[in-house]
Amino acid sequence: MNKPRIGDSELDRRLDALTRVAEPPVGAWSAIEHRIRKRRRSMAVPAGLAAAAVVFGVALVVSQLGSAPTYPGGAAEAMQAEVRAMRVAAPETPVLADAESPEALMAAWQDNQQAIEQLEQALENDPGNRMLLEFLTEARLRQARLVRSIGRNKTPNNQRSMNL
Amino acid sequence: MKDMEATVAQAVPAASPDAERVEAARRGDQQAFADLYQAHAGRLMTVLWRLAGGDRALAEDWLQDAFVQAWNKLDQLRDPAAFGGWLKRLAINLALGEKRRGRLHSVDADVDASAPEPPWPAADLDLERAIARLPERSRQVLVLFHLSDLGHAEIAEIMGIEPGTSKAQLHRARNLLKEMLA
Repeated sequence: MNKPRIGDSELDRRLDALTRVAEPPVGAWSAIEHRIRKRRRSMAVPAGLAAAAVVFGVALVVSQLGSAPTYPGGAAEAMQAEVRAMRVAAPETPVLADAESPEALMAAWQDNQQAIEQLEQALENDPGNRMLLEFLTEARLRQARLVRSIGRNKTPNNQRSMNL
Repeated sequence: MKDMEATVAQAVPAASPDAERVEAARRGDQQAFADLYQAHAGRLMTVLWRLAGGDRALAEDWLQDAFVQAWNKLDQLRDPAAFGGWLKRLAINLALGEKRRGRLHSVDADVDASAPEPPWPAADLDLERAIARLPERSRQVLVLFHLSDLGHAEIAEIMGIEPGTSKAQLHRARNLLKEMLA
């Protein structure tokens, strides 16, 4: 003989009486905390590094501005003198191996040219900055060496694209 | 003057504790988020344990994932006072989504799957176990309707079924329970 089924109202009553709120699992929060802390920390590290880099950069510029002597004859004359000195000092030996491809040499020349333009622009804003002048001199020296290296592998196109 | 202050105080509803905690958690306050966990995890756990068919380890995995997701998506919550409903929806979506994808979790070997023990003092152990033994779809609909206070339209949306199917599954679940509890 089948047992009588419980009715709808009895089922509803028992469903309503079921536990709806329990104690939160004890170990779950520590696992959650670990996971969200790990994520927050991993996001914080690059931000911290970026902030440190900015602070370092500002400190470097400030220290250079504070100690950099200005050139009495004016920035333009100083730069010309530097360039003349560079031309004299530029060695005959190429800075890049002869085995370098013409494309690699041209890419290096273009990168260096871009750096020179940026340095010149920076010097317009801060004509007396000795560090910028030194960087510019080094960049032009390197450019002269690159020109010589390219001259050994020169192509008509390369020659035209470089305003030597 | 005091009358006016009282009137203003009555007219401006006090910010809900959840809203304040959510705002603080958005600023990175983990203690505020821990308070949200304390306020909501217990309620959520009863739903997840039943959706998991009495698999406590699986329910706790879902609970953790839900709170971690909530932490990561706090900025997407438009009304901070509605955190509870938002979290419940997020946890249910996560649980049903994993079931749909067929992801299997390791089940606690000490637990008897045919007679699961709720991780709280059970008011009606026979009914808890009968619910756990229901076919999955029927159980999900029954738990969402009777124990999560969702309507058929919402259940249908969450489960990706028609509202009529939700009603049919609930009818089936209730009939099975009535038989099991006879």
